[in-house]
Amino acid sequence: MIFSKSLVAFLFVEATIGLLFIFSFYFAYMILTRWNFNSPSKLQYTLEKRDYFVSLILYFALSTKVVLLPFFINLLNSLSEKLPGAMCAAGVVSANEYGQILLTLKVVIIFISGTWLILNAKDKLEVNLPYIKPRYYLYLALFSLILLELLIEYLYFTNISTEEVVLCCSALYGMSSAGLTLPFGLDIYGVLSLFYATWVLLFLSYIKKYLLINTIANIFYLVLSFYALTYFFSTYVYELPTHKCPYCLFQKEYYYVGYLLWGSLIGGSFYSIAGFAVAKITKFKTDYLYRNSLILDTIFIAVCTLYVVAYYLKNGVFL
Amino acid sequence: MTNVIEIENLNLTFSPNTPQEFHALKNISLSVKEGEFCILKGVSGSGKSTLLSVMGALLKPTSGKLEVFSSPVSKMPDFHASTFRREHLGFIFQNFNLFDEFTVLENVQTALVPTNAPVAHMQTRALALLSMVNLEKKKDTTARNLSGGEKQRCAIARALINNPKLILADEPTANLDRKNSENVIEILTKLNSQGTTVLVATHDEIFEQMIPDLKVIHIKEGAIV
Ligand SMILES: Nc1ncnc2c1ncn2[C@@H]1O[C@H](COP(=O)(O)OP(=O)(O)OP(=O)(O)O)[C@@H](O)[C@H]1O
Ligand SMILES: [Mg+2]
Repeated sequence: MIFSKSLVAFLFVEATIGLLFIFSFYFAYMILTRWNFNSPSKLQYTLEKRDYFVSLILYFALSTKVVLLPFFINLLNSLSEKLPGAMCAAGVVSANEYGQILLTLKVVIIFISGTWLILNAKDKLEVNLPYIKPRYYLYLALFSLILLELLIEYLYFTNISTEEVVLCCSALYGMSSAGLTLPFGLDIYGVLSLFYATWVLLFLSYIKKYLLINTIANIFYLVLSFYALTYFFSTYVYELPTHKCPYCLFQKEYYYVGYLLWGSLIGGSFYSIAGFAVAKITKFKTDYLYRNSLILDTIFIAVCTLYVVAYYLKNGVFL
Repeated sequence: MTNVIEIENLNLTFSPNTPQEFHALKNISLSVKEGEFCILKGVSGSGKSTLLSVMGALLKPTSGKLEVFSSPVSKMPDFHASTFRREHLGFIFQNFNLFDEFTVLENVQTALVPTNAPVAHMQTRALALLSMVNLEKKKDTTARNLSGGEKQRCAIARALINNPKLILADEPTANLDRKNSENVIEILTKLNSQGTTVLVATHDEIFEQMIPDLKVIHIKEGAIV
């Protein structure tokens, strides 16, 4: 078991959000099974009030959830001081088998939370709450994922030993190219080509309004970016060919650029996925969400490329 | 003729499931047709203000159907309810609800602010209404310094600023002397003759004395009788 003040604060907020979900579950269940907007019954009026109440609670809980993700990353970085062998969040995440699952789960929850928040805003623009059912189905999905997340959080933090030496980024990501686990059997230059090509596809599909293609390309972009950033661009941030890590980017030495990079990348994918989901569920145009997505995706690729160009201009060679 | 207000089996319980529980509106069904001049008559505490507030989408009922201009106002989320009020209703409150620190002119104008109307237009319209209720001389007086009758007329001018098709007035003559009451009723009858539907909550006999084809709805202990 590992312990720190920010960890306690973090777990407290997470548990509170979990409790809010548990409290609103009964109303959510009633709304999903008994909702009939045109009914003049007492039950229906009560459900309308409850929906207002639950939506307000979820609005705050899920907004908090979004803010909590960067806080969590910060927490992992700070915990690395307490773990022998860990120099950044990489070592903390890989301290046991739950770390990576937890992080992935958090990103998935952010995507669904954000979609819920947009859907909720759209629903409130209409007189008769037409999207209430999809909102509560998303609620159910979030509810189960958040309970699962709490469980994994418990398992993760209680299974971190402060004595055992963990592997950190140099060992995890810095292996010789033989040990590299790049996707689709590509080498790093293959990944990079595909990464830039996918951005072109994002751009074109946005211009041409092939929105489904844009969303699929965005998911692909997210995966490729993970590898491109970890195994190539990060070395230019650290200016060290052997230092490959997606987490050290969050540290002060590198001007916290990780928050910008990962924030723009996850935000970019999120807006495209939400744009697709919201367009499917509602009658609203979601072009502005796709536009936000493209802007963020472009910020990501531009900042990555800038590091390489700046290094070349400064030193006259590539790493 | 079409119904401006249609109510079926409307109930309202204050503080339900508590010791203070109070069933203020009981199974109310009624309708008001376009162009009618109606009064809602009942003793103090019979539920007149409550019913008017529900019709004006200021209070939500506990059950029942309520449509104003065929819109389900009782179901509207707050944001839509306020838009609806602004676009369709003129509401005159029993206790005026003026902004005490604002001048008469400002009080009348404010209702137009959310519509983004040009300031010059808001002023012209507000001044025309103030002259109609005979209050243009007081346009720069702060509302707190008005007499009861002046406050009432200011509230009427404000209620008319958006050209409402339906006026809901709660005891508009309760604080006025005979002459001022007659004046208010003249204004309301004039609007009514121009096609505005008017519903007034009152226990003042003067309406029945002054208005020939008046529709009277009696309310007693929260029920229509
Ligand atoms: N918010 C509230 N909570 C509990 N009871 C209320 C509330 N508002 C009104 N009531 C009660 O509902 C009843 C009807 O009130 P309402 O104001 O509608 O009466 P009214 O007919 O307008 O009376 P008056 O002629 O005195 O204005 C009263 O008994 C009042 O005490
Ligand atoms: Mg009253």
